[in-house]
Amino acid sequence: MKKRLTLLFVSLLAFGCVDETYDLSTLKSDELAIGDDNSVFTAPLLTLSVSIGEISNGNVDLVEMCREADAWLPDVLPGGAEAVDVETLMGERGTEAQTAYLTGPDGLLTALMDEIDADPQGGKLVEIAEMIHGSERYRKAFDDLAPGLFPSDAQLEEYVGVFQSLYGEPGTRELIRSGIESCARQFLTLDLNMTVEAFVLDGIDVGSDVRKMITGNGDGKVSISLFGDIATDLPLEFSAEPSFKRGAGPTASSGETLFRFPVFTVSAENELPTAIAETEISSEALNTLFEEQTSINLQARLKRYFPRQEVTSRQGIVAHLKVRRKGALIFNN
Amino acid sequence: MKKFLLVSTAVLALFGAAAQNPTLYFMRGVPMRSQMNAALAPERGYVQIPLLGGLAVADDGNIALNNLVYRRGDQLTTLLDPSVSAAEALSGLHDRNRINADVRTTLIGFGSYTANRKNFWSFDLNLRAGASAQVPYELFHFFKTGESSRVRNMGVAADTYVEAGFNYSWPVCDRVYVGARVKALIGLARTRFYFNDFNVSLGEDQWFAEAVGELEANGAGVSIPTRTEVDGNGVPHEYYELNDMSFKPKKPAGYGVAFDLGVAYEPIENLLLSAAINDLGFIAWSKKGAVHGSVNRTLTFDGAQVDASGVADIDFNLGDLEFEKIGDADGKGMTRMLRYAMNVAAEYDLWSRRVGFGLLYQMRKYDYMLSHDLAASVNFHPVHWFTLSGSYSFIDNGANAVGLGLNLHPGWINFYVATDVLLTEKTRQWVPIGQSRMYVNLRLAIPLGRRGLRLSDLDCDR
Repeated sequence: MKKRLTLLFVSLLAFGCVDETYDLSTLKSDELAIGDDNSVFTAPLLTLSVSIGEISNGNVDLVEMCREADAWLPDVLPGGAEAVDVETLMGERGTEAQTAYLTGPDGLLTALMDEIDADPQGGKLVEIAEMIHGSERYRKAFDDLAPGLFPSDAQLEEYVGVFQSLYGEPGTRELIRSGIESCARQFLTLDLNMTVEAFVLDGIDVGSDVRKMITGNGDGKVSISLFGDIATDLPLEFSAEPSFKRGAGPTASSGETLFRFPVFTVSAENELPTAIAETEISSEALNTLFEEQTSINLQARLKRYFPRQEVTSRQGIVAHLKVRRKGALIFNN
Repeated sequence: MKKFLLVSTAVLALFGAAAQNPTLYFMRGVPMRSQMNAALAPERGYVQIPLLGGLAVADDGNIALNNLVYRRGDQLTTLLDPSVSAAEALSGLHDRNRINADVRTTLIGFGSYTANRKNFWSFDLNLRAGASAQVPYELFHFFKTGESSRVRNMGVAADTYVEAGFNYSWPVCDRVYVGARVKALIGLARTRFYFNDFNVSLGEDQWFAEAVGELEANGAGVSIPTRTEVDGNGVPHEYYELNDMSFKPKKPAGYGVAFDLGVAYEPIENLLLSAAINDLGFIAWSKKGAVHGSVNRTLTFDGAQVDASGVADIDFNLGDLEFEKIGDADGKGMTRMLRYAMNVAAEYDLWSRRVGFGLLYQMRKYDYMLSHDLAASVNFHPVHWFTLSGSYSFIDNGANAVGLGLNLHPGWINFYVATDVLLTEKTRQWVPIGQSRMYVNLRLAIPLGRRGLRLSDLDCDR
């Protein structure tokens, strides 16, 4: 009897130590995670390299545009300025400001003509003449302005010589001056701008595991944002409002905008890259970036131009975009 | 990598190892005692009831179930689940987290005294399975915090084999007994996969992953399917799909031999000193049906490089960190030592041997660690057919588990059970929650023949 009671007591003790709520059959092991719900991860997303070949003013590439600009601008900007205010030239600060900036006492055109008059046989007039000779558009403009005065099919040296002599003649001086002013005004107010071609991104193939880790499982627990930096070594200051659209080519312009960054300004004067403000993005939009074809449009607008700077094919714009993700990185079994 | 983590966690959480239960060592009537020291013999001969005759399950490591599995609501989840915070998950882990599992199932077992009732022989056929896992702290730290980590020397190893052993124990003089067991081994399957190096870094400017490791498997019925992928140079690569690994043993995959050696010495009356070394041997695994794979890859992702020509190729697929098949034909054969063990004990009896006090030191060599244990034991033999033992381990016994053993051998049956999970908190599946070690031994046998006449077996009832 004693032995039975002893055995019963031990059995009760043994089973009494069983934690019924600790049931290994309910063990959930289909999710492995890096971090926890409070973790923050960053990852590189893409590096966009814009070469000078992808930048133009709609008519000519950036190198040619800068050459023209350097020709139509005085060598020394009024007031000792380092750069030309393109926004004022475009009339964005009003017509009065535009007129004053061009033809006022400290205007660009005023300074240009003063520079030419100071040395009519000098380099500025030669530079303008050479640029006109090299441009069919400008040659036609001057032929229309002064018919028969400019030799047709003349070589560069001959053309420059004729240009200088016509500017020196009292009877043709004003005609040539007005032609120079007119062409300079037209270029500076209409053609000094920049357009960056859209880029096509055919997805980012990092494997489904990594993609799902970054974009999440669509359960709403993750917060994703994009941020980065952008820099340029071109003699420009421009604003940009990058956007990503679904699709590419002709369909891209009407395609769905996945997300857009707020406007920011990039300048060659900055020693450090310009920060691209952190912008929240949905998991679905980021997933589209990874999985589908999208187009990237910088939507750049020229704000200032720094004349007389070297412009080569090695220069361009580089933007780095990164992902910031809050929450654990999940990879499912 | 996912498969490795889940297998490791499963081994860590579910298996319990150590077929060398310290409680058993001092239980005189238990036939299994001779498997811990070949010089020791039970009080009578025996025939074990097939399949029900003996089961030994043990777990020996340095982490417990509650370091790996956490309660969340009405579910359990692993420490790698995002709902488990880093602080909570990492607090119970060690620099090297190890667990070792051993299961011994006796299929056939019998033994008897010779005519002089001092020499004892036995034969047993056992199915043995063992597994070891080592997972460094750095790996858990990375998974819980996302911080860059360099992980070295992590792996899982497992094997299963059949052993047929013949044991003989005899006196060399009045007070000294020696014993030896020779075992023929038939290997069924073994596998080992490990990473010498696993580095990962998730930075703002670059994601980086590097893995260096190998996979080995031997077994006539081991099957691991592969998938073929072509790299950027047009070269095909075959990767093992460990998730679909199957094991259906058809025939032996290797042969080997092992020895157990033991000695017992009674310098003065009632004091017994003993020592033994077990599982000294090896198995030569055949190369037929062997699998060999390796991984040595570095992946970096700096972001997609986009320019006017498009997007440059990206080489960052975590699937490439899986084991690649090496060679077209069978893998390589290899010879592997068994996980040997050593027992050194002292036992002193009082009151006509009705009460005994024992001290046992155990050492066992596993794949990733050398395990040590020191246990004290108290043994009650109020009558010759009843033994109640209790033991307490002093090393890695964070749960303060007490081992208990009960042996009943009235003459027509020999039943014993010994475990250290009886009085500790455990799951519904009787897996201890807070213990890093666990022993469960169960055996049923039919006594045979007359009792032996060894000095240490005499008690007041004689």
